[in-house]
Amino acid sequence: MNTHPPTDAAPPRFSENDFERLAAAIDATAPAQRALFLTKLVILMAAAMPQGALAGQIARAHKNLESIAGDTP
Amino acid sequence: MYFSWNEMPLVKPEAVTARAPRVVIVGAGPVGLATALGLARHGIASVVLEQRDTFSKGSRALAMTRRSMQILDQLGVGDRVLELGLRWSAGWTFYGSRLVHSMNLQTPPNEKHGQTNLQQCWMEQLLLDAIQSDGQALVCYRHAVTQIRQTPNGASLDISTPAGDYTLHADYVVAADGPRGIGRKSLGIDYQGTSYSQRFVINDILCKHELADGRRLFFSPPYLPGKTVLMHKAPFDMWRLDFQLMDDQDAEAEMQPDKVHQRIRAHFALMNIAPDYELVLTSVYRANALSLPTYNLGRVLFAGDAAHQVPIFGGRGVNHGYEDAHNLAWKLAAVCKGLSSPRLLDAYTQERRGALLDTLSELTRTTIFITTPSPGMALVREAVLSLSLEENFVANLFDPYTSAPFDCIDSPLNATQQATEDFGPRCRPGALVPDLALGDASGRLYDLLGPHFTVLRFGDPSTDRMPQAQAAPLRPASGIAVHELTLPAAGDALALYDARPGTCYLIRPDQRVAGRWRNPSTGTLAAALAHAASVPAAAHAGDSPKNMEATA
Repeated sequence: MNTHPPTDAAPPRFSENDFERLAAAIDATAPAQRALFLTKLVILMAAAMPQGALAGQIARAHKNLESIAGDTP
Repeated sequence: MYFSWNEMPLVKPEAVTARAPRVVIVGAGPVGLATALGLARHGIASVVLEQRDTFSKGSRALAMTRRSMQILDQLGVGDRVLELGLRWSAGWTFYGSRLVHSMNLQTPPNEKHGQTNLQQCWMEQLLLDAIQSDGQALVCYRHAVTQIRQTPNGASLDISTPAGDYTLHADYVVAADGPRGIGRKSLGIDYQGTSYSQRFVINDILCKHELADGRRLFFSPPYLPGKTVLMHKAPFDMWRLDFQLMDDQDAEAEMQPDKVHQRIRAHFALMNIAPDYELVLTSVYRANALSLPTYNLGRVLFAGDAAHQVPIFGGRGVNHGYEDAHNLAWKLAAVCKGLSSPRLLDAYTQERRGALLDTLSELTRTTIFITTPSPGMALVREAVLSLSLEENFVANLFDPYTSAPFDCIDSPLNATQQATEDFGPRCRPGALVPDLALGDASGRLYDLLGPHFTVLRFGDPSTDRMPQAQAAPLRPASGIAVHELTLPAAGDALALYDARPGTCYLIRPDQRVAGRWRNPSTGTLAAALAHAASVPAAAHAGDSPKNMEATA
């Protein structure tokens, strides 16, 4: 199991409630519509973020995707 | 039928060579004809060579912007265009069968024109009528240019006609012969940019059904899921329909009558209209975002689609072409007359290519949104469009018509703006001057801006000075034509021109600001005029303040 040393920076907040909420929403969406649903979700959230913030989050998600590519079972 | 295509009489080769034209224009589409008419307004005769035997077929370059209408006014055909054309300002965007967005391109109160649609064949007819009425230019149909060669002092053209082949020499050639023109091929110059793979089948139909004038944009109609349909109203009961093809559809097959009618009937059903129409024309189109690296190569200049290709979304193609013609005409005329250095033509490329690249940057986003060339684009667009049924924040993605005209702020012809000249950003050097209504009987400012430079001064409104059209002209030693005009610093001029008593604008023959000052000296104006017209130093050495004073 990989562990990382603790840092002083405040961790990003993703609450258990949001975790459950998102998972339930995805489960409630027909499989064929899930990509579209998630895209809409991103658009709505991007519209509420400062201009340019989406680009940073995209980069983070891509980087994570690449970094765990070999670790995913 | 909305137009009659008569075969044009053949001009014999000897009649053309006898003209010994200084300028030959290849292509008698709207841009070539507008260039010829523009040159004529500046006193330069030309010959226009066209391989077709009649006018263009179909609606084609249908939609004209305010700026194009201003140019057509300057060419003397604007009123005729308004008589025949269809003015519109409204636009509607649909997702499936539901309206998601509407726009209204209101004409600002100080401006005369809005969007105007008129079929290309009619535009060519009106321009040709004006050329023939003027008499300086000769337009020759069934004269096919097969080769253009640069020569030490100009260019030579090989031309093929039913009456025999001949060679013509000219000081300058304007290649306005479209995307498959001979100019590019002859000179070995090619477009740079992007061709999109998605194709559109274009149909002109005649239908008398009453429908509000304007542009309609349909995303993912039920009969064409994931694709786009554009619909423009045109004069003479014509509608123009552009259907995006599915990725696996063969364009040739989809142009067959049964497929065409099936699509049109499906569209009528979507709009809940009885399919009572007459099919006039079917063609296919692919969106391109292309430009030559330069629009002046030796003695050959490129204009319109011969210089660049613009996606049709937002109706920019012919509008860029008219701006090319208008920008080029005064420059080329000045060079032909020996008043200006040939480097003035470099400014044509700098200004027009700059404007084109700016448009392509904007329209690329629109084109991608409309054509969705990737799965990611298609997914996000689907999400945006379905969200737009209830959320208004995505409206900025739907209006390719609402961009302001390009300001040539980097033009080498612009006078340097001094930091002490406290002007606002509007109406800066390189920008188009705004039109102004001049009062009940005095018309409009643009009526007074002609084929010459204009020194526009703003005076004290308390003195009740009226505009003086064609006041005693300044006589710069170079011979560059310049008129003076005085308006009161009042009303709309205060905001539009940041005008105060003593404010002065030097306006180019294409209605762009060459420079602006607060109380400039005659020497300052003379220097700015010489700079804007690329007058050789020796030619304007005689522009002393005394010599530049207006005579009564």
